[in-house]
Amino acid sequence: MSYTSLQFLIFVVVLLFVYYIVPKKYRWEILLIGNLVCYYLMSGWLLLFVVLASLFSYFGAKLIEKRKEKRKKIFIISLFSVLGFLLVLKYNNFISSLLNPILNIVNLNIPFKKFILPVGISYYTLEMISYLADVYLKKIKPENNFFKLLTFYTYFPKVLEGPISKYRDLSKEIFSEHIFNYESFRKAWVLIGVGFIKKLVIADRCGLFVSNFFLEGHTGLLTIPAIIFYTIQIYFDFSGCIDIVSGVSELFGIKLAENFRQPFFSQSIEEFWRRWHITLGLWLKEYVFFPVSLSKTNMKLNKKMRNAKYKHLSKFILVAFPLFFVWFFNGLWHGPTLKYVLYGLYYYLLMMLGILFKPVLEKIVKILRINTEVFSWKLFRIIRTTFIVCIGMLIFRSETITDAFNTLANIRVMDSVKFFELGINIKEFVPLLVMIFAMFFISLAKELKIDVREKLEEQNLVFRWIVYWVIIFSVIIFGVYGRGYDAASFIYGGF
Amino acid sequence: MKDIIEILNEVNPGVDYEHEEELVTNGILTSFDIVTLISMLNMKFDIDISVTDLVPENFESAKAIKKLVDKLK
Repeated sequence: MSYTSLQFLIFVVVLLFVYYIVPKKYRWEILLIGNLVCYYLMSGWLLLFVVLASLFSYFGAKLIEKRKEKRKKIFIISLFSVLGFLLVLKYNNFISSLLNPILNIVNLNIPFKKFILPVGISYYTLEMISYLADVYLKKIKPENNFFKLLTFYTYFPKVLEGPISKYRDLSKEIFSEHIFNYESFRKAWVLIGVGFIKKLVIADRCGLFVSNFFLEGHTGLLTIPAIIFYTIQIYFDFSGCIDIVSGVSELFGIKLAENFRQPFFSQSIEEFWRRWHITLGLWLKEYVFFPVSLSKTNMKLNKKMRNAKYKHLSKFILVAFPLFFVWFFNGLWHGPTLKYVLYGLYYYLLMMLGILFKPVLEKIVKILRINTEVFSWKLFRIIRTTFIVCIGMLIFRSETITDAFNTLANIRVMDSVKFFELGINIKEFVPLLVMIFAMFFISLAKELKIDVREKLEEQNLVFRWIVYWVIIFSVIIFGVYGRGYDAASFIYGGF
Repeated sequence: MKDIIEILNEVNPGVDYEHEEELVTNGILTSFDIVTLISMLNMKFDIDISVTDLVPENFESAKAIKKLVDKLK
């Protein structure tokens, strides 16, 4: 069952009905039942893995608080017990490929095995780690009710693709009593509709061009639109999913964390990653960047450099050391292969060069008397950032790094295929372009701090309903539907 | 207090640290700045600021930072 399937919509409507007719204090229990049913429909009996990992995190947290003298040990054991599922099921082959060359020396070998992954394992494992860490760091008290914790981990709108949530934030939303509000209900449906447009009308349409181009091995200048379309596909696929699930969650009165803040308006890579997959960035900042930054090793390293009077270098190393881990894990989180690690390190390298040469670049800007406050300069920076992101997406799309380089090198090799022969004809291209522009203007309005959904609510009934019908018919008429009218799976759902 | 404002100016100059009350909320101090600030505070006052102290309230103003330093001294 996918978030864009008819079954999911029916499931949501039925659950909503039950949710709002039971007394307020029992509503989270209805959600728990709904979560388990939804998870079962998406992942079958692999549901047991998430229940088991939830039990480990529940008892781990309880023990951390109870056995004060051994809290560090218990924290580490609990951490690896929940992480163990992810390491064995998802990263076993990656670990084997690293260890086997050493083990082979003593005639040992870890066999390669491919397991079916429980839905959302990469997402809920991070949530379990953050829950355990928050209890260990005394930011929160451990939850007494296991079923409440299970409701949070399996909360159906966010279980497949995030946003990655923290128990300390989302529990307040899930377990507070919500009353039905028709205005919020309408606004939630608008968000769901926009999500459907992003996914079915834009992402999947671009996906046709991208798949045909790369699978048929084309070369030449069309590589450029193929890379741009892939970047558009990934963005609208992921942010479309987040809009759908955020809207669905709002129907239940529960607000999920923001995961995208107009990333393509970013003027630098750092800014891009503060606006793209925000919850992953925040998770890595809180549970990787800060702990490694403040570790004794990093502090000692910094002290030595400072004493040696290498001030700029010491500042650089102070962040370079922890950021290496951040980007290494960011890459590895996306996939258990070397390519994804290199994808993370691509951004790491660029970011480090940016920090290292910041004083030089500032001097150049001063010498050339560049006004950094004007629109043209900001636009130049936005285009430069988008270019870097597009190259990153190419690495993400390619099988290996060498493939990515070959794709770029092959731009010079002419190919006879025409633009409209790659899965999008002119009649499909025009509405695609119109929708991309519509989404651009919505993003621009958000960037200017205009609440688009609120503005729509202020309009007269007739205008509002015209917009609602435009959204509905755009999805029905211009959406891409495969066999049995089932849309393509979400790309980030694969993680 | 003077020492702390001096360090803050070294980390990120050009801010009215005596009156600014929302250094983290307003994005004046980035995570890079906070790490640099902590490293300098640790060295200057011979303290050990740990991950548990990393809550926004401890870094929102020069006054809050001084309170944290005094607590850890």
